[in-house]
Amino acid sequence: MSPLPFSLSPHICVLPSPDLTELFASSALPPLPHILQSFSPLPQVTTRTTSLVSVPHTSFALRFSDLAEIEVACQEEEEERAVRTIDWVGARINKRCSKWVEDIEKIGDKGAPRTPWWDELRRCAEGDLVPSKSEGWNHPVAVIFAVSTTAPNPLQAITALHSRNVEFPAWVDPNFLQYTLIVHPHNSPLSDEEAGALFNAVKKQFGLHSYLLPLALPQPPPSAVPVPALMPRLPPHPSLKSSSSTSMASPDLPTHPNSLNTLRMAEIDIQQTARFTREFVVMSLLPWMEKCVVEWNENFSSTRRLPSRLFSSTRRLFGSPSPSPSPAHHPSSSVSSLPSRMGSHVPGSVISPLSPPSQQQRLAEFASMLGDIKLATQVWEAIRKEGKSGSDILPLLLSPSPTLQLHVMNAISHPYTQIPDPPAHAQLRSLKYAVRWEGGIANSDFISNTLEGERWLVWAAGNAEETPAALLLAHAALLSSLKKKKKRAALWYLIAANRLEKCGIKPLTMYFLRRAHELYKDRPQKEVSPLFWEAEGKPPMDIQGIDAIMSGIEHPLGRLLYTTGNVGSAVQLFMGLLRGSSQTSSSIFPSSLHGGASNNASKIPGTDKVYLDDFRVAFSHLKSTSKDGWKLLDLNLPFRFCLERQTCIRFPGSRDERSSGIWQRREDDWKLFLKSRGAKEDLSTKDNALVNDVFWVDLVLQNPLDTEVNLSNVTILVQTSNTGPSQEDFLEVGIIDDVVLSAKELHTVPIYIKSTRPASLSITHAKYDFLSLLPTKESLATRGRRLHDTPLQRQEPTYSPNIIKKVEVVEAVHKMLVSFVDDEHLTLIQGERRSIGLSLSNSGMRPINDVWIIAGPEDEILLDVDDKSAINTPEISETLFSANSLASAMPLQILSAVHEQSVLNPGDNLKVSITFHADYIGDRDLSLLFVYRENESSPFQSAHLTRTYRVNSLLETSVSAQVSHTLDHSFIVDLGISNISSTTIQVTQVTCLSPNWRCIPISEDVIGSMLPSQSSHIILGANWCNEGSGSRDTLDFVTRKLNDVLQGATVEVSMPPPIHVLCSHLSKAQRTFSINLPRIQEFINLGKRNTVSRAIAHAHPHIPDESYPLIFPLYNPASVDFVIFWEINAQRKSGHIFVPGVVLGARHAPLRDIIAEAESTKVKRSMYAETRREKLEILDAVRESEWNAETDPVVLSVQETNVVSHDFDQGPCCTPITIILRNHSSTYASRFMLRFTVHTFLKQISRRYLVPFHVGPLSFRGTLEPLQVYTVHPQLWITIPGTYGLGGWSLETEVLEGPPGRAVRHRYRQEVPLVKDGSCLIVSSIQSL
Amino acid sequence: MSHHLFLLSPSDTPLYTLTHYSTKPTPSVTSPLSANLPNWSTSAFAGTLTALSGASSATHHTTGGGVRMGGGQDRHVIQMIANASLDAIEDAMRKENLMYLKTVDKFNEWTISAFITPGNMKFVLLHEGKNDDGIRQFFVEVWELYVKTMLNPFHTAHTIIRSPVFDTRVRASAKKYL
Repeated sequence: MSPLPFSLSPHICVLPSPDLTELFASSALPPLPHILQSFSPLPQVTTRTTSLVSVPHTSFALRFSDLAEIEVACQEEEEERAVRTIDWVGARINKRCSKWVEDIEKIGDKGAPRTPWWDELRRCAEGDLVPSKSEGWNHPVAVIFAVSTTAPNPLQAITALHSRNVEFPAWVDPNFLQYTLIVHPHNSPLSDEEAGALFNAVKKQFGLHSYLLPLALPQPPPSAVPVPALMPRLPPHPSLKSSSSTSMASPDLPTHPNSLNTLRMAEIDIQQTARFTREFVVMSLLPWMEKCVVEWNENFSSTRRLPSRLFSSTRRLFGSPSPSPSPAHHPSSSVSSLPSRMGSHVPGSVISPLSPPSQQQRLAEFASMLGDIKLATQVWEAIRKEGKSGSDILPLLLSPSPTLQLHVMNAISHPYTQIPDPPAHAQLRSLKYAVRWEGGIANSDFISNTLEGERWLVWAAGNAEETPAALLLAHAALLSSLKKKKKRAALWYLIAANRLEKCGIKPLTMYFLRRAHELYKDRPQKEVSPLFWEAEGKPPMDIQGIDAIMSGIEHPLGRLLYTTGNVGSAVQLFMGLLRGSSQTSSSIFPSSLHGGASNNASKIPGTDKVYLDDFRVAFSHLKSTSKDGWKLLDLNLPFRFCLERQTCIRFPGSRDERSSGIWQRREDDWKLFLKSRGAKEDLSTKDNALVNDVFWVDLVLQNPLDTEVNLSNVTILVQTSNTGPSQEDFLEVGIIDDVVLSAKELHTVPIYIKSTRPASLSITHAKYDFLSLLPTKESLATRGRRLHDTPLQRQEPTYSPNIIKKVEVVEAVHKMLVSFVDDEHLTLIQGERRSIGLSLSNSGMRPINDVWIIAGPEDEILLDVDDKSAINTPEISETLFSANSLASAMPLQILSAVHEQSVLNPGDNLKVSITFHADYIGDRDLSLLFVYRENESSPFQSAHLTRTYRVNSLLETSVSAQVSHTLDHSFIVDLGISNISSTTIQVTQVTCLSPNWRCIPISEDVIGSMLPSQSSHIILGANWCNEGSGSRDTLDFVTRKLNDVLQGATVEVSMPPPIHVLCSHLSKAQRTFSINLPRIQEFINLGKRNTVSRAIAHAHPHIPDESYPLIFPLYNPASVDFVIFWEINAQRKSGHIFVPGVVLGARHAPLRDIIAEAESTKVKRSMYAETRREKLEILDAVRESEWNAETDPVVLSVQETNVVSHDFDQGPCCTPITIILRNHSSTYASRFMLRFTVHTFLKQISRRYLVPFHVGPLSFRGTLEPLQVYTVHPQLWITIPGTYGLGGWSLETEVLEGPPGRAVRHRYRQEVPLVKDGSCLIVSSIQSL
Repeated sequence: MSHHLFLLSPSDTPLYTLTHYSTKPTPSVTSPLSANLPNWSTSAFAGTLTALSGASSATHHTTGGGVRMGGGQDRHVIQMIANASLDAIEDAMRKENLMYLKTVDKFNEWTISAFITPGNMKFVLLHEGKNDDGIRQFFVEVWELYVKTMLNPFHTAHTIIRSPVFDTRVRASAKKYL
């Protein structure tokens, strides 16, 4: 067992006489208690237990104090004193800690088992000598009355001292040894003999507990001898300071904490004093104590022999108070103690509510002091069981076992632990216990896993927020770190720092925070398999701790550093905190750390804002105070704003994302065109910046923080590889003054660059001032690709060098600028032909010889040429020879077409006019790609031009057709036109286009002016006309191509055969536009092509639009289309509208065979259901298409003779009716049978008509050749006048194909009334005159 | 009464955390030292900072409220306690052969229970009351959910668990047992 802590040693009070005090003062000596204290502990003292076993003590500690001082201190309220003590300890620590921290950091030994602040705290706690109400350790064991022989009457002085009341309160144990000390200095007026006589007299009067101490006390005082430092003591309460203690030197000695405690005593005096001290202890104190122990033990063991119930009831019976001290009355002690007791207890104090410590407790304490561990343990256990003290001392006496923890918990638990700020005396008591345990138990045992003593300190600290509690925690942390429990140590350091910070002890707070930081960061190697890391390709120790811990340590540390003036370090810490909570941490924590109800309201607010504000404040302060000092800190942002991979370089005219698809299609069209011409030249797509031309770096910035930040002076750093003039001379780089990024915002910042001479530029860094304070630059280089060339590279990830964005600025050798001449918003009327001016200028250094315009497939544009023959071809009809191809328009070549000199020299400007025609109503973009080159050998360059235009509607048109009932025409076509604009227009000409049908106007000429909302109809009769060629070939072409489509074969590359299109003009004016004029023809072709393409795209969604020209022709031979030419004279506008018309005539499912073939082909099972479904859809689309139409070719109609007048007097009337049968098929003959039945008649004709009787044949048979018309004339026999219904005829038709013998292709039967339900014959009677 | 669950990878990287506020009544306090954790609030010297810098808008963040902590300002103390308990868990792992280590450590009123999967994942739960059986069942269910998450071929021992399904189910389990 290690010796008991100092605070558990016997306490001896000294009462010096004034003359003695004077004597020491004159000899430059401290007061007597301090001198005596210097001789404690005594070496080699032996005590005896109750069983008379010797207990050797290698050192025996004693505590000496001034009696007067203790008396005064006892008067102070315990709580008040505790408060003062805690403040005093805090002040002591605060005063000295900065030096300690400095020293420790200088030495760098952070793992030392002791720290100065702990020692200081321990000494402060141990040094307390004032008796306490709760324990008896500080109650004096002996009082030494000391006088010197220099007193005028030493004996009287001694008597005076002995007769003085010892003014202890009632609760202080009055049982103590009284001892008399006579100091006999060398220069005493008494001789040695006289002194001896005095001593004998004293012995006789005051007992044997006396001593004569002869001292030399040479003058001048000898050199100082170092002695152990005195324990610090709480200065007395200012209001309670008694007169007697004023003479005492301040107990808070030494005044200079770091100076050595010395004693200026001669060698012989030292020996004499040592002898006295030893004799006092061995001859008087120990025997007295041992005697007390033996005596009290008798009482104790006698009570224990009785059953406790009996004992307690006995006690109750006799009304004995608590086992209060029955003062020992044996001869030796009675002499000494009796008077004092009698004297000390003033009558009033007898009924003090508080009693002195119980005899049992004193017994336990004395036994502990004397080293009688067995007895002490026994007694303490008994006391503990009674629920009093004892738990605090047992851990010191018992051998280490887990039960000690329970004792400790019991000792510390008190009613105040539950509240956050326990009263001071409770705190102080916990502190004392903790200090005793820490000092009284061997360190190895204390921190062993059995005891876990460091936890005791934490428990002792409790919730108190005072300096001692914080230091207890800090010491626990230190012990824990010695045990290699670093994580726990970090926690305790953090909590210690937290509490200490509230006490305002900043240097130590910062030290603790740093320790917590170090310990938290110090992660030992985890015992995991190396494969654990290798399996995921992660570097070992890639450990991300729990996020908020680091900031929880660093943030207060940073703030403390800032408040203590270490702004530089604070700034560094604050910057470290800005690690962007988005990256790793907040992704998992804020989402999951809110409550179980997961309501967003309880979401943790981002901490970035707090850190950022702190950083801003601290850094701006640093900048304002330290001039350029902050530059030395080498501050680097721990996160990035630039997304270097998304950052890109943008050249003027290069595509933005929205329109890049359009330009790509234009370029593809151009390449296709070049290919079709067999040319090999390619379009130069290399993006180069040109001299004096601005280009941009689109810097993509993302805010990683969840708070708003601003960046100022955002720019980029450019490096030039050129030698020569410095880059400032020729390079201009844009600077954005201020960019504000809200939380997590992504923002693209374009920064322009302009170079006035050719150079090779590397875009290396982005540069900005973070928060307008910290200049920062970020590299824009991206990592190269992963290399896989060698085995080593495959094993270890290796990357090619970083990629830096580079730009070549070259001279503008070839450069053409294109623009529209006027920039106003372009609004067109439907079908309007508008001339648009383009301006081409060569701003390069070389001439341009070749310029092309590529427009979109739907854009109808033509170059304006002087064409004077546009008008005045007054023919009614003409024939148009069409290539019949759906292929897109060719690119337009400009220079050769319009520019006579055909070269655009540098600096030249060329105005070109194009005619633009727009049919499609709404807003659209006109995107024109210009390609140009110098000559045949140079590559093509490109330029883009875009303009948005709007087309307003003008006319609403409709086309319908029906079978004609006359012999003149096969079909009647009705073209309806209505003016839906708000202006009056002139319809100047209507042209009908059809390869096979010739249209003749039937109605009156309606062409002319149309008022708003006016509508009119043009009725045309259509007749088959076989003048043109190409119809048959066209049909064959479609059949062949669709067969390929259905069979899934590659469609052969061939264009449809050309076709002749009949055009009939309907014009009132003298001027008729000839369709054959190239410009008109071109426009009509474009219009037709757009219409047909749209229709195909709708009907055959699975056929790609590139192959339309290879499959479908432009004109269906049976189609009838119209072109309406209009003018608005007031606005001097003219245009034309293409009206897609109808398909006339009968067809006979010409694709029937190929469809059947496709259906009967063995189905190849495809893996994908989608493919099969698609094929079926293609087949259905072909079956339903206009090319596979099937109709009954024979149409019958009656030539009505509405009224027949007959004189019935002359007999019944016999009148014929004419029935016309017309075969509309141009390809197949048909066999027909026409039959009349009453049954049919009754079914068809309403009852209000009379039924005519037929005479002659009622059924007709025959064969109609293609397009043949046949008339039959059945006779009616009418007997009475009336209204006769005409009907009851049914027609059966068989379409014949092949040679004579003729197979039947289709069969039809129709029971149609000859005309509508009203068709009738009115027969009226007239009287013959 | 709140519970804090941490799932830590073998390298002690947190993969998932959860704060659960139990509605069940707090069982009788087991530790005589049961007390509140220190209230760490940096605002104590926020005012000083403001005064020093002379900026009125330097810092104005709310304090963590009362001494009870949930997930507010003192989040890092909770995390620190969980982190500190790893010392004790490592000791307990060496001594015991079980997956459920019961109570491994105590810090003031917080009790720390731990569960170690065969794959060396650590489940750490900070709780205030004593509920051994419920906690064991909770851990077993979380383990099952974790194993199901790990069945995802794109999930490794290093991957942070962000699955909302996992989150919902762990919450449901916490509601059931804690």
